[in-house]
Amino acid sequence: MITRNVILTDVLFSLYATDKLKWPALARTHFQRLLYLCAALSALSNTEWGYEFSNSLYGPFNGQVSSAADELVHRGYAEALDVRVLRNSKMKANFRITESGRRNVEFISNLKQERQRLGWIETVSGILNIYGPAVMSKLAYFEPTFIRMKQENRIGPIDLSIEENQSIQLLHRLSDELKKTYSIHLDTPTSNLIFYFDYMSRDIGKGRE
Amino acid sequence: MVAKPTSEEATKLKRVGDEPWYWLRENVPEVGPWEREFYDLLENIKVLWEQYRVNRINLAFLVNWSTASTSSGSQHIKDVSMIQKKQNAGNSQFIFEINLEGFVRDEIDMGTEIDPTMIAVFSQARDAVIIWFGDSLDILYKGMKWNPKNKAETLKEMKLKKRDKLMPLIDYKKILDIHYQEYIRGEAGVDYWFQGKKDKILLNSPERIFQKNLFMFLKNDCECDAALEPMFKNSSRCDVRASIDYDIYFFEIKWIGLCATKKENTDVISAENPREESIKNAIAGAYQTKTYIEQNNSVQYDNKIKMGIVVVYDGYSPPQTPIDYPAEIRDFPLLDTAEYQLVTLTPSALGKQLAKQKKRTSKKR
Repeated sequence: MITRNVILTDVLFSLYATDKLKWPALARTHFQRLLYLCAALSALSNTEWGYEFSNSLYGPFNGQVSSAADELVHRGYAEALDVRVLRNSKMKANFRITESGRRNVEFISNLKQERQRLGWIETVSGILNIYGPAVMSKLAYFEPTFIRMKQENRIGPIDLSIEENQSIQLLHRLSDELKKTYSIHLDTPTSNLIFYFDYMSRDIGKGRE
Repeated sequence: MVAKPTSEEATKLKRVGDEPWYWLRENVPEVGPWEREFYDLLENIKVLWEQYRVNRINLAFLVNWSTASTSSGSQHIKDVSMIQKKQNAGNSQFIFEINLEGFVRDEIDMGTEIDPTMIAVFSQARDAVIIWFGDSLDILYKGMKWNPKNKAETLKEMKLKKRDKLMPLIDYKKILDIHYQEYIRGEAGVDYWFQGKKDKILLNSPERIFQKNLFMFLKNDCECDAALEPMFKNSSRCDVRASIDYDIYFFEIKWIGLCATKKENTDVISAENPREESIKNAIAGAYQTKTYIEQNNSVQYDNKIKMGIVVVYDGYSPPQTPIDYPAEIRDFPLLDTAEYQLVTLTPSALGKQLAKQKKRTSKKR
């Protein structure tokens, strides 16, 4: 039950943070990807993420994250736009935060723990703003822990614990080298995030406009 | 003990390490509280410079460490043409002070025409970051210049990181065409002819070369999650799978022509006794793909295959494509085919080949 509330709040925070950045309404895939990246890199902000994503055919996935948007619409905190029904009866829509949702975020974030979580989602989405939602989805597909599972043909929850988290290990490996070879010290969560996304996005759209 | 980066990681790291943001962050204490905002600003400047470098520009921007809103009507660095007009009208004597959001806050009249040397001296006198926006992009702080090892390469690589749209999978034909034009045709992005046997014999295992290259293209340039040789539900494998939302596309790569082979019991690859893959093999491949789709698209499976595409690379000289597939393949709704010629014919040879093909088709009828 606690997890369900955490997920609902996180999805609401995602809609809030991206709306502030003037992103277009988010599809379910987008907040799945955004929250997955927040979770994969949460060790940088010492945040205990609290729920898992699974290795699905379509990328990192959490069923509750997917359905949370419907509940937010039901509660009046978000609105569904461009609603379409797919041939397999699944419903596709884009979601945007409402005024009531915004007020709710401001109220919830009075709590220290929630403020910290919102801060992290805002930090990650702020840096991803450089790339936009389309590239963000790609970056989630490229997340090394997820990639490793796919390569090993393993299904089930993606283990993002510090021992198994390939993104954090990659960051340690590379920032160590950056320090040695280029005398560059990445000592803040933001600088680590900037470096991580800069590094991971290097080949996207290589040589193309 | 932290593991060492792999050679691929080290190569990528070299490119990242040369970026100006890292140099400035290391040297300029003011960057500290504004890491993200300053990164945003630099990205904007890099992309703008790339757009305007071909014009005659001579602008200098001094960074003011604030995001405080400016008076309405303030110009933004995106209005490069307007700012340059102002510069021209002022006999090129201005340094423009910009805030972290890229708005021009003030103009500093230097009293004489500005140039990179003067900018360097001024940045030292004011302990300021100044960006010289001319035929080269120079970034200066306290008279020090951002001077990475591979500056030319770094400037060449600058491109807009934001993409509103990547190529959608639904346009898979367009994706394959662009991939062919940009990476395959004339060995533009990958080598596939055996050395000394261009237009005659392909390297050994050509399917691996084409598979990997198409996979990388899908992975980096298209809106999908791409996987190389993933397993189907029935444990068989396809060459490349691409998925987006609830749709799966898969690509089966075939080639026709001659390829080099590995000499028995040695590691030597030779073109002496090449292996031939004929049109027959490509058609057999299409049948195999049709079977994959039928077996893996059962009603009990949640994930449906939207389309299977057989891609044939034709290494024959003269080319033997287009392939006349049997009706069973042509009419199968979830299967499409695409063919690409690897040998580029001269216009006269191409004309002759088209005439021959026309003759063959009319004879059949």
